[in-house]
Amino acid sequence: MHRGPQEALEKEFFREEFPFGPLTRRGFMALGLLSLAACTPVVRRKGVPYVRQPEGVVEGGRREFFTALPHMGFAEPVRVRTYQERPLFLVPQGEAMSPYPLAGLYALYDPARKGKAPDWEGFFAAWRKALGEGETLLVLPRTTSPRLEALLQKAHARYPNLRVARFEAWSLENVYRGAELAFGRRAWPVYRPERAETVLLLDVDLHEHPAGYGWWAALSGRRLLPMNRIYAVESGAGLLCAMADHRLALKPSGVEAFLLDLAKALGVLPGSPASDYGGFLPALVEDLNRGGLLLPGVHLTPAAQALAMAVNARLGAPVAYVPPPEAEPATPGAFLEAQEAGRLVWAAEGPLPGLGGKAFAAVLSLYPKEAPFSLPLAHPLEAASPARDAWGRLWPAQALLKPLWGGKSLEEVLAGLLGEALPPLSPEEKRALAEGRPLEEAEPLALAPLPGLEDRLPPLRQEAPLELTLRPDARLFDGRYRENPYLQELPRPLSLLVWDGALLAGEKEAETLGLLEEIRARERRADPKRPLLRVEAGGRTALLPLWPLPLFPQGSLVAPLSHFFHPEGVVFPASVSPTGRDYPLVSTQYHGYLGEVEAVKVLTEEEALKAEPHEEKRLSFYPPWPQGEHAWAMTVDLARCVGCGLCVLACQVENNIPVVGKEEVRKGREMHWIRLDRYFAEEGVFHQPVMCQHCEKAPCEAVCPVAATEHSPEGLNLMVYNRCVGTKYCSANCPYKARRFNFFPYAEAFLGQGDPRRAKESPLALLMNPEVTVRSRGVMEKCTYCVQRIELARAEAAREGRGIRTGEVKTACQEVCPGQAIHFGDLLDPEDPIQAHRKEGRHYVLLEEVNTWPRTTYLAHLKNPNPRLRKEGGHA
Amino acid sequence: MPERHPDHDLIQGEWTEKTLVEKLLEPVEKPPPRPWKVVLAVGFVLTLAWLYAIFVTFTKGLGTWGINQPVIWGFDIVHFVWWIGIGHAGTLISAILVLMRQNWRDSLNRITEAMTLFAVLCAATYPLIHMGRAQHFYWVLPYPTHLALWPQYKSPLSWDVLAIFTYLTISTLFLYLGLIPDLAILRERSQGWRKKLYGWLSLGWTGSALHWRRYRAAYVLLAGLATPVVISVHSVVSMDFAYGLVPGWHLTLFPPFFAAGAIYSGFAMALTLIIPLRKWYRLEGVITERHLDWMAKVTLASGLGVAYTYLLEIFIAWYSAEPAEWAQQLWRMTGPYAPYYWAMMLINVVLLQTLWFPRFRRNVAWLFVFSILANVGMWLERFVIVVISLSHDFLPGNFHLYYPTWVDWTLFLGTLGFFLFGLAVLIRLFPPIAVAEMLHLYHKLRKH
Amino acid sequence: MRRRNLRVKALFWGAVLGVFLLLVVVFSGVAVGAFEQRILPVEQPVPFSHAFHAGGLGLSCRYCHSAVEHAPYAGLPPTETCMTCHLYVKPDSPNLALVRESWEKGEPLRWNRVINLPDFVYFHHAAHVAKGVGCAECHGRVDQMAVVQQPAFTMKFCLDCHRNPAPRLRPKEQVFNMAYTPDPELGRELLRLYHVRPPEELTSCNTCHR
Repeated sequence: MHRGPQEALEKEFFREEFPFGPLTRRGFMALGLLSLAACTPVVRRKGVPYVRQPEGVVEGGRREFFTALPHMGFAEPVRVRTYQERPLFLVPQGEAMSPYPLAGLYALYDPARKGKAPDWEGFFAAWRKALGEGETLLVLPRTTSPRLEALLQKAHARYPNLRVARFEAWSLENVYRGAELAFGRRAWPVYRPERAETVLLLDVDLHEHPAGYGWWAALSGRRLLPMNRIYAVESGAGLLCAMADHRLALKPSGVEAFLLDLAKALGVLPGSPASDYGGFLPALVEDLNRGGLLLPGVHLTPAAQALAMAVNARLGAPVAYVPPPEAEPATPGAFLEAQEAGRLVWAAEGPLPGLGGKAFAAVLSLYPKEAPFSLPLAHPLEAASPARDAWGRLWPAQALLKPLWGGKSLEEVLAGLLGEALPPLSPEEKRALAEGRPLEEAEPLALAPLPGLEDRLPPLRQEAPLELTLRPDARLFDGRYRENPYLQELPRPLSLLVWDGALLAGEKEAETLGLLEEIRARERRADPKRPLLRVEAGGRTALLPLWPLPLFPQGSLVAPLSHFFHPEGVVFPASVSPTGRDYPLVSTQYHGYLGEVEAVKVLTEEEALKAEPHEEKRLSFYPPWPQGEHAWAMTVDLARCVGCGLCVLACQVENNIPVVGKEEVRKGREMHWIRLDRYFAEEGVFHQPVMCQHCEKAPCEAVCPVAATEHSPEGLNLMVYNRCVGTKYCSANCPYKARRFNFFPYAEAFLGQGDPRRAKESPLALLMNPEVTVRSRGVMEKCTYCVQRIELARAEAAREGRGIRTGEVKTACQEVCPGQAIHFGDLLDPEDPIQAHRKEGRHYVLLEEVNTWPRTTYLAHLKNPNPRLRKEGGHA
Repeated sequence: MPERHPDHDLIQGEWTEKTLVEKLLEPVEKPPPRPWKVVLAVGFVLTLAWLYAIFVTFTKGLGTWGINQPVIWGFDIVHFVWWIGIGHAGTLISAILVLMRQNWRDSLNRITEAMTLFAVLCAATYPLIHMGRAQHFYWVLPYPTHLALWPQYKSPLSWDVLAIFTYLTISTLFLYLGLIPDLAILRERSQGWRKKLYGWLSLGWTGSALHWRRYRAAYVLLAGLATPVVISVHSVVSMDFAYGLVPGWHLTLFPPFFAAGAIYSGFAMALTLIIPLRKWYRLEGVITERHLDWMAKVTLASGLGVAYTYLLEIFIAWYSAEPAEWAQQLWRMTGPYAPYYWAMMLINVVLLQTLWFPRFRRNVAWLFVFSILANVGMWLERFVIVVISLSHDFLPGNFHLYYPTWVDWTLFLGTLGFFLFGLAVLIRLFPPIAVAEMLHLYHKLRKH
Repeated sequence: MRRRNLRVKALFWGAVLGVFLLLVVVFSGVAVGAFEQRILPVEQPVPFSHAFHAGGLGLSCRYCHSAVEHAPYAGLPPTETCMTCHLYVKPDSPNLALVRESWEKGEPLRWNRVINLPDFVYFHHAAHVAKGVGCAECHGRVDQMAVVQQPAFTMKFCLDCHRNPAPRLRPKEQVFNMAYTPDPELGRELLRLYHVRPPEELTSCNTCHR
């Protein structure tokens, strides 16, 4: 199990030599004062202006640029915020954004990308030579870039020996083949879930589909009154399916069998369904007929895909079909081709094939690899080309930095092979970039289902006693983000594991293996060790630690693609056996059940319609705080929160929150300001982001002996890092435990990639937001309602002689949430939507009985169960 | 036949003034017994380890401890409270018992005052080293600065600063004041550097009537000033918890609870120290079974206060219908830390009851064993209050356990070492039993 | 015997007096700010004289520190700004050798910063200028300084104004006028006119610390 920078982080933590933390200017001055009374040496910094200042650059000014960043080949349009020409934050421009481009900012400044100085000309010469000698395989990742395809055609014309294969561990090929089966031509479905009354999710999660986050953005709008109804049938435990009103957990073969039965029940196929799944199927059919939509996962067999498309056509679902965004589909099978090829240029992402014994072997990657030729690819912010998104639209893109370590984009590489230069941005591209809109909209195909599907339908998934699905890890995907500590430490959905991949299984499976008792006992002790299992599937073996999850169907296993890759597919019959060894798995939350305290409130649609706004009980002897110009507050809508963790990541990037490494997370010292609590309950899984609630009667403010945490007249609970002496009483007294303490010099260790002394010279220091203090050892920190944004907005307003406008201040978490669950606003502003949120019947205060009067409040989760299924409690 | 003084058996055996003084000055003047050397050596080694652990804490950071989120206070605060509690016996014996004119305090007060001094010193190191940025510790003090900022006085930690400083000052003054006549005695009996040392420290005491009058006035005044300190210091320390809203902390009963617990643990530690001391130095004549009996009675009385609070806590948690409070009690009783909780209950509630019976109170071996157990029990109580409460508060999303590291343990054992080392040095330089006061008592008892 | 007693008494009471005086000095606050080394004039690589350029020639502050109305940092002038004049004015002066070198080689000038606020202090020039705080209010008569010397920008310095801004405000037209003296009466008017917040809000920690 490759650890990457995490290992370095752990090894180097204890090298700190200087007392009282690293030697900063202040520290040096303090030491000087101590030893030499009045003769304090003053260390002067330098002020270094430009020689010729570029136009439009204002020192300390923030600017925004629009571009589209790719993830798994699909473009995600974003607005990039730069500070002194450094990209520091991303905000989605389109429907929603996945966490990967945002976390990818780390890779932009990561000094680990620096290998030897790249000799591009030498590489091109060697490549041309290899192309002259014989067939040379170029393996590309999934690309939707028309420019790259054009260059490939040119290259193939000039070099007939150039063969191109496309590799992706998580392939979309089944979808294209399904369309071929259903409609007679390969196509890519584009869904509009917001237009459906009932949605059936078929074994798909947010990150597994390129449009997943966008789907949630669409669906979350319909999770408000009047609500849609979501059904889910899945073989694992995903975030999207957890939001369903009714969920059925079946093995992968069971999911496909269910789909077959559904098709029969809807009359798409002849015959009648084999089972009614405990009433689930008839209720589902009834709801689908009111306006339904099926959202299938991309790994279902082509037959299942065709069935789903046929059902959607039958239901008149809001789905359009566009030509496949990939010119050639990227499949895992290309891995085998690469292993056999004698001359190889590998430019794909994820697992790396062996390069030994090849006449010519080159790797083009973001990070240097061990290879005869290892050349750096440019980060998407360093060199960019237009690409398509999951809805088929073509977005323009621009580079924001010159490549820091001599990298080139794939287009530039091919252009270099051809000996040409890429053209500069065209006027249309420039205009589209300035306006933040696509270059081309998608062209829907007019497709009708061909009759006689039942005759040409290939077999569905075969059943096996234990079925293993290899799914992309929600953070590392197929392993391509292994070098990214932000993603490594962002807790995985539902298991909340960090820094590792685990075999997820149901509790029944663990019991069958005889391991459940031991695991339960270890959970109680917060012992991280879990049994290491040998998993055999499709002829390959992997060692994975076991992490049982409730909600898992029996007979189904899930392993992350980042830790178990198979070139022939993603679903296999499998067998597992204990190895007798243990492996420590670290999770950020061990207690998964709510217990006595009603932290998460759940209402059904009817209850929500009837609910009266609840008057918060406020008791105090004392007068309220003086009121300033604004009264900042925040609402978190639990019906729209899917638990993806983007808010946690955005907060981390915006506020310079360090990554602490697996060992420190094991001790319970992760530094994320937002803690995404996950609770298993009868109604399902609930997520609750908990950050500083900015209580009006803050228990933390009263107990700080040095006044390091104070109340602002605008309602913020302020944290003044430079005053904090680290008594930690504030954290002890916080009932939400929203505060984080710097036990070690985490920020310096993070910047120095393990060695705090290297922090000053590290290029990662460029990743730090200069508007937020970088905290050193011994100080407490917590959510600040992005006070730096509030103050910048205030300064801007002062400059322009006006007040702060409604909605001008957006917190980082608010901006990136795909479900728009977080709303930050001003209670004194009558036009702010927050007034309406707080008057809703489902509005409540977390831990109201503690009398803290928080400014961050919650809106109860909503469920819309089908009355026919209500008796069973909703979940099978 | 003249009536005997009711306290006549506080000094047992045939003594003259001279033999009594000789006996009491033995620890200073005669070569020390072997156990003393062992205690000194062990204490010294542990003190060095302690200094090393502090060095590691300062250079590497608080991450070397076992604290985490949410258990943000661990052994540091457990031991802080433990040590401060222990110190209260000395002040009670010195101050309150003198105002109550209890003669049995006279042979005990010196050793317990010394115990208090070192206990408070040990305790005072914890607030300093547990700070994340200890180099700015002086920001808790109110002094004018270019920051134009003052400390935040509503915080119990600010009160702690005041309380501990006061306690340290009063304890040191009291110890010193009481020592002055004894130092004068030593001054007269010694030569060389010792004479110089005792001479300086005795501040020119001549034993004249004028000196005695001033001494008596100062002593009683200090006793009066120190009396509220016995209650206030540990009440202020308890406010560190009672002021907070963590389930398990948020009880108005905490100040008297902690005050009772302090007296209980202080007397227990006093017993732990006095019983071996009287054995090794053969001081059974002046520290009699009656003394031990009285100490055991005070231990029982204060321990009953502690036991009462444990039971009341459970009742209040249930009666309050606060889900988090009751969940905390259940967690204590049935969670992963249950063994610690039940051990505490066993010692402080069940075994305590043996002190009702004179058979147990007068059994010196049992008193010694129980005194150690009582301090273990009080350690467990502080562990339950600090660590267990923090590990399971309101939202299950943040529950976590506490794992102390070698630094945590070394700091604790190191303070124990420093405590023993300091006491060992002290009783070698200064008499562990107040000579002048014993002489007074001797004459008082002989008058009858 | 008496002499030794006197010596002891003198030592004792001397120590008591010494401690008492120390406490008086500390707690009266007279020593606050007494050890500031930051107020000394700072040597620069190029001997630029504000007295000559801003005072004598009457150059506007904003000619060089151009971002002061727009951004948190007032900025230092790029070499290009110096060369707008010095390409023609005193083109061979030895004092300007480094400037010419910077212009030709494309290497920036490295000035010694006179004002060195710690990293956890966030000062926004544009916000102050927009509310009528003049340059000279904080920076002093820079137009009369040959070598720039600045007051020690301690927290107290900032709080003294933030606790009572009125006497230090001036009309926006006068912000860059170094010679203007503020009028407290007018200042109270300007508080309202320029929507300057009351002291409780101005001294809230987030005003300067994030």
